[in-house]
Amino acid sequence: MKLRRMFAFSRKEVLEISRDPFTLWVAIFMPLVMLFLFAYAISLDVENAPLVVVDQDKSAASRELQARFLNSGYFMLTDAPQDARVAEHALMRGETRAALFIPNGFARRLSRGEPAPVQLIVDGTYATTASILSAYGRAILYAFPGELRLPIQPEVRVWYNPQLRSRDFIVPGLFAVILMAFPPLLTALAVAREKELGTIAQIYASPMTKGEFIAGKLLPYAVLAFLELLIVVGGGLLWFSVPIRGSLLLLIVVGLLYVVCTVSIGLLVSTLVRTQLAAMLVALIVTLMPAFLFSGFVYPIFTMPAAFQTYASAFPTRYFLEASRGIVLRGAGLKEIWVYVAIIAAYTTVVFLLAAWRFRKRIA
Amino acid sequence: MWGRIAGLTVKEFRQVLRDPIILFLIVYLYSAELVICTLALGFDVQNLKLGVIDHDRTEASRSVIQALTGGDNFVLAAQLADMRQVEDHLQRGALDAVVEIPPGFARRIAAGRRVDLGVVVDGSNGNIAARARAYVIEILARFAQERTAVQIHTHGVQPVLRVWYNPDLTNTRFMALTMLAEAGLMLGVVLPAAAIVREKQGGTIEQLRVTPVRAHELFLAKITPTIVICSGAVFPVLFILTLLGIPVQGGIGTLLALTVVFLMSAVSIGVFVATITNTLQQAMLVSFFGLFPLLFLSGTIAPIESMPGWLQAASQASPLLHYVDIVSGLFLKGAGIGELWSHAAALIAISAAMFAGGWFLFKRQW
Repeated sequence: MKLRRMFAFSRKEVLEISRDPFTLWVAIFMPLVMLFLFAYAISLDVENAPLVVVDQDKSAASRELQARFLNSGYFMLTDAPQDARVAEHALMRGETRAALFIPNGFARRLSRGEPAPVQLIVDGTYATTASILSAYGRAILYAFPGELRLPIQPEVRVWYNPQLRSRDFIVPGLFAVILMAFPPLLTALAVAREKELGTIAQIYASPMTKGEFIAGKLLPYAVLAFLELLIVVGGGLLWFSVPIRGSLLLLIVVGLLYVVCTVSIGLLVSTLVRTQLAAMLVALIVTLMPAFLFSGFVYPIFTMPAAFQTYASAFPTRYFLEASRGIVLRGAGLKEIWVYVAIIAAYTTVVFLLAAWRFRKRIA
Repeated sequence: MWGRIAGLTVKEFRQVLRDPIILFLIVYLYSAELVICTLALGFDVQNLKLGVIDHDRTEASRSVIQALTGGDNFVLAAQLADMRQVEDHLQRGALDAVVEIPPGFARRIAAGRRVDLGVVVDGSNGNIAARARAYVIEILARFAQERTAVQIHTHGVQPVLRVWYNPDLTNTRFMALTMLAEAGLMLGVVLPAAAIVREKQGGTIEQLRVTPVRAHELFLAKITPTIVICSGAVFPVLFILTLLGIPVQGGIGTLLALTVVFLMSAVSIGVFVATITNTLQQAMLVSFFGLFPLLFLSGTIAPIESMPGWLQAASQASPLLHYVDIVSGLFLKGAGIGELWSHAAALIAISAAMFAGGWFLFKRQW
């Protein structure tokens, strides 16, 4: 492998990228847009869920119960009709997530020490929201009215993310997802484009070896991806003021390894297909979808059936995601995350060798 | 005019049906992807790993632990001696939450005095942490109420909780419907965009320009195959959904009509993308990056209520949001057009805006 030939080829690739401002603009700007949008859009906490209250009792006690729901921060009153059917209709139309029915005689039963039934209906369509809302709703009901109750006071402390800010949890995960979305897509188009336009024949005719070709292609895209890494990490940590507990240097170094890995995957995809459209579709299926759905980014891996957990383990995003969350949220050092780093390194080596092996100099 | 449109449409159908990759993608998205995601991601968060530090070691403290770990929410994963061990377990991810019962717990309960229970939740996975916190608070409140009822012979509020439309609170049904909607959106945007830009990049649009074909006729021919294929795909999907135990409750006619309305809004975005790009690569990149905001603002990944106000307003522009409400209404709630017309109107408004924008820009290129 001659370094001079490899660098000359990389230089050609750099010139090609720099003369296509659209692609360059997409590569630099879109990850940032994605970061901002997702960090604002994804909030897994449940706050101010719309609630409809049907209060048929209209007593001091029923008003107090209603106030407890609204002051909890989890619910927000949208309507207080007299007719239960109005509330049911609102649930059907998706205008409210929950409905609270306080029947006649609620206060009277409560003061006599009789069981006082109260009905809470939760829209189960969005299961995550529904199970959190029903837990809080029941907790409020159990604790009412309070003076007669045994006060067992849970003092909940949330470690590593005390305000349970979704952003602190989402942003380090986004590093892993965004870097799997963009660099492989760009690289996947890189070789497929040469094939589609026929310029690959010039490579076949040159003395360049497989290794030089693959490494020369990889280098400029790895640099571009590293630039994206810096932009995304900088934007995430500074703009969203996500506190980083571990070492920033460690995050960047592991991130560099990860982007080489993602770019290699793009290259591998590129050697497998012949057209740009096919390259993009395959890239979508092997990089973005698993990175997004099967990495533990939003959907926890441990709830999946065993076969799908194995499937999830076959993609590198989950390992970098663990490392990134470990460093940013828990202040983990190399001692805690070395396993993930080792897996990513091994993965990269295998993918690179596969790509070099798959790339054959021949005219198909 | 109708003859021209028919001729062009036949040509477009042939072009789509001749491309094995596209056909494979359509089948893949509507079948394999839908089934994989439904089976893998439909599960609720249960059996969180709970650690317990019991300083009291009495009947009362054991019954609290029993109350916490008796249901589906928590499993008892470790008995710890003190708080110093907690750090290590949470760091390794061996525990999701820890409850510390103070000494004198039983004595204080018997005396009717206030007890503070220490609870630590691992916040590094926000999704799990929010639930762990809610579950602990709920179980302790119920425990306290039941104890009081025994001690001073009084009853309190009897919560009757009903979960409508999805009583077992699984994600399965919602996930399957989401994947149906996402497949329609992706194909609806990408296929017409690729079909139009291919003519631009290949230069064949010059040939069309010298024919009597008008811009809107070309648009109509380009979007028809996508709408026909994707709305036809609803039928095999209905079969798959029935196998997954998700039968349609509303009318199939309503479903089909509203699906066509949804696909119109998706293809209108595809047409718009095609008018602002010149090569296939650009069109793919733009639609790729346009799809994700639409996906995120649909409420399928994170609840809309928790988003900032400006994003909640923006989410109204996502066709996916309206269509997911439509299909969950039809499949889960047994809703009809009477409940769903406002979503249909929003979809029509989106299509009208995108078609008008696309047509205006395309006119200048034509």
